Amino acid sequence: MAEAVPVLVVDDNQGFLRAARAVLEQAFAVHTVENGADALAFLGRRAPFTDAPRPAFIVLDFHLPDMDAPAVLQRLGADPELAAIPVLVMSQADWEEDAAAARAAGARQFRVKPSRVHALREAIVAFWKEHARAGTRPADRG
Amino acid sequence: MAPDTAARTTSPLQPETPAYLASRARSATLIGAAGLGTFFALVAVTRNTFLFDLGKVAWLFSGLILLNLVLAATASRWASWRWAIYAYEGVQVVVLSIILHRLGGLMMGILLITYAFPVIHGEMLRSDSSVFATANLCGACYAVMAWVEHEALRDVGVETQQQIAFVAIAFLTLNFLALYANRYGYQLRNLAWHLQAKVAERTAELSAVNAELAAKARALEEKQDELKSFVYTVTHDLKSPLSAILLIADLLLQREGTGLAAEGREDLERIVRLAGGTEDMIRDLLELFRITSQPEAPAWVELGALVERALETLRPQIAAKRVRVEIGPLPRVWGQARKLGHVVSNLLGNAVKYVAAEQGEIAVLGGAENGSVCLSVRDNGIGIPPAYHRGIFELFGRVPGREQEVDGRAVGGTGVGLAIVKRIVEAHRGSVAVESAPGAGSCFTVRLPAGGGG
Repeated sequence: MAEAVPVLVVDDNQGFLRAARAVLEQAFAVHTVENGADALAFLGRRAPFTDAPRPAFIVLDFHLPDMDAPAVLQRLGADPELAAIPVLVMSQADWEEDAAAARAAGARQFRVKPSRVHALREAIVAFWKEHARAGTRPADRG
Repeated sequence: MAPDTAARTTSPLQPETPAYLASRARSATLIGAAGLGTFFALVAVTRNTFLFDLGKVAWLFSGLILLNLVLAATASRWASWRWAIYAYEGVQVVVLSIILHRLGGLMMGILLITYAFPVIHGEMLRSDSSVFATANLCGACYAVMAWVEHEALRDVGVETQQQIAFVAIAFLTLNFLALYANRYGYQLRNLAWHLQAKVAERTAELSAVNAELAAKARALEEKQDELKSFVYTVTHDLKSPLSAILLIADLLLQREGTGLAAEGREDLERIVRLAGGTEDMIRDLLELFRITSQPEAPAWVELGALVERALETLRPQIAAKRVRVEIGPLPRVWGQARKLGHVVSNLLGNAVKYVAAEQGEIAVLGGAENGSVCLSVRDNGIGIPPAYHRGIFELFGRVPGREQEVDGRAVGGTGVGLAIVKRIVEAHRGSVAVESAPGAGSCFTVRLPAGGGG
């Protein structure tokens, strides 16, 4: 891989960020933030993320301390450029209401957070292959 | 009688509002018109027998009937005015006396009976002194009539003293009549009023109970939402750190595992195993909450279709262990398809889990009897010691690992599955039972009301 693909992981659980970083480091340039406001600042290249790269895809925790995933997605959706970035929403439980809310707000995929390293890597890589590698937004949001 | 008296003394009297007086005056004048009409018809029918001269009284009758009708139409304007009632009754009594006089052949007895009507009629308008005023006016008219007919009466043998006695008796009788009319009319009206008040009271009580029930239902709904958000929060806050522990321990194991001493590696694996088990418990607990709290409309459910679907999902495990599955004819049942599907897949999943590889046999049988249907899942697995037959249906209730090894290995599980089964079946007003002994296989039987229970 010539240049590492940038990916943004948004989660308030530092343990998860640590694991995600370890799992993805070899294949991606991993950036992590711990709340919705920072994620929006990172994506909007506002201080302190003025030189942040545009991520190829986003791994977004459903429950963030300041807002939930649908709220973040709605803010992204307002910006046509940011709306094109595929988002994988991960949650601790597969509540149908959460999944529906995330999808309605524009998430490409909703899934329960894997708790094994191998499964986590597989889930994220599979998402990247399906939604982000081509660099274009598939027609359907499912 | 006693409760009536009590009601009268403790409850307020009906207030004599203008609207109430007007309604009484309206019905009284209408009844007056009808009474006069009847009286006139009676006179007309009997005119040949008693030689009545109809022409002399016809216009008086029609005038009085017309007066009553006009007063009925305008009742709301005069009913509250006491003097209007006196005047009306006065006109009525005087005109009635003139009619009787003109009919001729005065009969003192009949006259007295005729006067009874205005007295009762007076009470219809208003139960107070006006009734006595009417009664004494009638008495006075009676006296006048006696005086006018003085000669005629003497001709038929009624002496002056007797005539005076007649008048006195008339006054007495009419006043007694007024007294009773006043008293019983008053009681009757109050009774009706109290009855009405009671109905209104009961109606108010009923609507209060209804409102209370609605409030309770709302509170219950709120509680349900509260519970949901509680479970939601607990899940997130408990599961989050746990899965992070798991991820990091797993990471450590993969990265440093080969460099660790055997003991250190085993400890790390133990951490992953224990944390994993706890995470599974939280996951299943959530599942229990989610499945049992989800609203679902009941419908006819083919148990056979549910079994097919469950076996489809279990196909890899069934193939791996080469389990033989036999399915008998299964009934249909009125219930919640998704929840019952969970029951079926849980029982079948357990059966597959607890049979030995290569020799496992599972039989799914159904039946119907006495308005209930049953579904039984029988296996020839390791069986369950009787001591645990009750506990396995409780949350986290499991047979200890060393007592349930299949093919030499402990079977994993969290002890939530059968608790979900029991809850769903009981929510359908059914029951679930187990027959089993160690080494003799198990048979789980679910009984449900055929037509559904709720």
